[in-house]
Amino acid sequence: MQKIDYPHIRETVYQTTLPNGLRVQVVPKKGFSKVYSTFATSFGSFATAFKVNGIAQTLPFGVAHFLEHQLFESADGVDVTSQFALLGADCNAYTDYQETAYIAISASRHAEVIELLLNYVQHPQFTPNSVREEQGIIEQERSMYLDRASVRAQMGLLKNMYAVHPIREDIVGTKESIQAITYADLRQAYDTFYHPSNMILVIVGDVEVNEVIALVEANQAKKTFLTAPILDMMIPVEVNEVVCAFGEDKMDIIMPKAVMGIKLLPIATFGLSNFQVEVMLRMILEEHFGLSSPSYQFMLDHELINTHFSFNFYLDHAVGYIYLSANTIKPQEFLAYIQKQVLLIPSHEMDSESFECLHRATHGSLIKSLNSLETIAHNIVEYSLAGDDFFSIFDAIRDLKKQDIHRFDGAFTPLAISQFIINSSKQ
Amino acid sequence: MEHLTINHSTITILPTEQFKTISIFIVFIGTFDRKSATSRLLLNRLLSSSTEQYNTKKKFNDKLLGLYDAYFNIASFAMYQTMFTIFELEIIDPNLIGDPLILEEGVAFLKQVIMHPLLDHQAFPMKEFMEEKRIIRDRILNIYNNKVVYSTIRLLELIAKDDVMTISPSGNLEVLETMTPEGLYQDYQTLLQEDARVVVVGHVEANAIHSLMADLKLSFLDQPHRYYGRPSRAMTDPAHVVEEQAIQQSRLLMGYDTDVFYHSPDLYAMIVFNTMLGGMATSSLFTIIREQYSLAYQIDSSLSFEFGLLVINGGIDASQEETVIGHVKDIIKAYQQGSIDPVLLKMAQDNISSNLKESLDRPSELFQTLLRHELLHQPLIPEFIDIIQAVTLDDIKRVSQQLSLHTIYFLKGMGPDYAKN
Repeated sequence: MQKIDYPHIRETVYQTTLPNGLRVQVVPKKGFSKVYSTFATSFGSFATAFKVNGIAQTLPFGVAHFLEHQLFESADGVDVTSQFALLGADCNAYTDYQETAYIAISASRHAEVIELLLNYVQHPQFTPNSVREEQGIIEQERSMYLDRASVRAQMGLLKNMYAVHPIREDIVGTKESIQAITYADLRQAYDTFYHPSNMILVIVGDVEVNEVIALVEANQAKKTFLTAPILDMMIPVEVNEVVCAFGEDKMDIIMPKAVMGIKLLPIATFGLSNFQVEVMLRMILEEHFGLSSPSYQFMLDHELINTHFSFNFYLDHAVGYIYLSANTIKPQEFLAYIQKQVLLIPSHEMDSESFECLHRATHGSLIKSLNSLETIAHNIVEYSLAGDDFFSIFDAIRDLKKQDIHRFDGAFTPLAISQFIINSSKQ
Repeated sequence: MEHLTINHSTITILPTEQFKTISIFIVFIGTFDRKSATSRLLLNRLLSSSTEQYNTKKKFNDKLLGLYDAYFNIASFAMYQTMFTIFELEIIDPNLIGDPLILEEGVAFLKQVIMHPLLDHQAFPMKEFMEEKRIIRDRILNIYNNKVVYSTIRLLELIAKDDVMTISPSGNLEVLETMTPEGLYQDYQTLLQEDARVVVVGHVEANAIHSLMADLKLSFLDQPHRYYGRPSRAMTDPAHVVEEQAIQQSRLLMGYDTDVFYHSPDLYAMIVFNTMLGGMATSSLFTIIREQYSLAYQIDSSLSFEFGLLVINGGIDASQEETVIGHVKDIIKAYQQGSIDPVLLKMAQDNISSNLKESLDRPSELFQTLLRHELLHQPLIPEFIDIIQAVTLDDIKRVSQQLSLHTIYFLKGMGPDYAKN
């Protein structure tokens, strides 16, 4: 077991890899009441085409999310959620682009809760019958999301930005794909992606590290697994241009929703570490569209935005995009203005004072995030499955230089931009 | 926990190294009514965007960014006729960044916000006033976009048309149009006269806080607080209202009178009952309507002790309205007849206890716990857990029998093409 101290942020991480390949990380947090345990696999909505031991396979859209639902099935009486509840614990799960994570939150009986988490994820009990029953629930979940203008706008935008990448499809799948998913699909996905060598267990809270590690080691030693499959994800390559520069739809809303996406090149093209790219993008967006920016004040002065204005980005080894969004009565004007501002980014020189201020703010923001056990666990999972060490982000921030900003100049080109508006059907 | 007194106001300090931050909460306690609900929203926005010294949004926000991205927010919430306005500043623990002055700077910023807002004589400046007024107007209009919030507001309007409970905390368009920069200045003066409390959570010494806040002028009205619940409503036959929109999923809301308020003896039994009914993932509603019948992805129940209400809220298919209503009624009837699962009772008690413990892990929830302890005389966490664990099956049966269906509101999803026709 490896112990890594981060004295400047008062954190210590313990990590080990078990003989079956399962990675385990423990972050002791003295004084906290809850323990967050997250058991995650590197299997998300993007995994629809891949090779297993050299043989190409495909899955329908939405399988990762469907499988997440089905792992809560129990064939022997008490369902999984109730088993956690009987221990006084909560459980939850989420499916993202790159991972599926199962979470247990306990205030006592931590050892039993961690064992239950490992055991239910590693002992699937779904049946052809339970798969059929779940389709109605997932269809309701999808309907719920589709009534949100923000979701509809983002989905419309991503379809217009990407030609072939599975990011075009909703994480829950399409109406047709949900109906088409079979027991065999889910079993195939489970057998392929839920091997311990493709998974990580993260425990954050006031726990005794040696006891927890011993517990996990003993639990895993009792189980047998097939040989780890050799996985090779078949991620389609996208050009940097969007498929369509504009799209629109209508919903029963009053305030239109306007979004803009900027398609990014894969993370490696920027010549910085993954963390540095993330931090730099945050700083660039904050400088140009944050509360302190001239653009923000301009948009307020011209009634282009209200409080429902936001920006964010997604970026991984193969795909990425920046996303700006507003609920606005002037959707076309809003989009025209931000597109103009985005295209000005490469010609803008960030002054040293702004760089220092944003650098300091980013540093502070990340330290503050360590108040949340959930955030720590989530970040460790996400970064670890992508091959990074979350706590190294603090070193990456320290090493950033102002001139690195110009590495992003090529990202802001008109051909990489797409816009989407959800109009009010009342007008 | 330490208590200090500054200018007759109490400051409660919870010294702890558990967090990476120091959080300072100042709460002002005033009156909630149709006018103050909207004017306080506007005032909060103006006070949290500029001050005399930081006289633009940019300068104001630059100061927060310079304080290592300090978090600052002013928010109001109501408990029936009482309004709480909370100023919250969260700054990073100075020890983590080797900058001992950051606490002093943060407190100075907070005092500047409270005591030196950006004014134009005895009014807020017209440009900023109009800008924030427009933003609030947009926010009110935007409620229609969020079908969960919209349907909840509609249910409350149907249950008590002229009651305080129908006043939306998101503001009212008619009231907003009557607001003036001079009138809002008067509301600012009212705020300064309201009963105030200060709570600090983090790695701090009481003496340091005392000296930094000594010149902060707050009012402390050592008097009994207002009643936090409504008088009983007259019983009527349940109403059933259906409205249509061009949405995919329908929203079903069922509002039940409970007659249980903050000071009712049945408060804790009602909390446990609600958790069993629809407040956790093993609740009766979730287990039967979602898991057994696959009729909903989301269905839950929630309580309002200000209004003596229990609301069941679900997203369902339009064709399943009567089926789901039937199941909900059957589930509640089973409780009322005493068919109650002792295992589910224990799960609910443990779930609530666990959530109460979790509140110790978050500075804002620690503050809320202290506030409720002082003002509503709610027990602190260990005692709260003991009371929850002592609730019996008979208690659950008794409080379930107090439920009386008042109104069903169904926002019927007609499909996305409906409004276009």
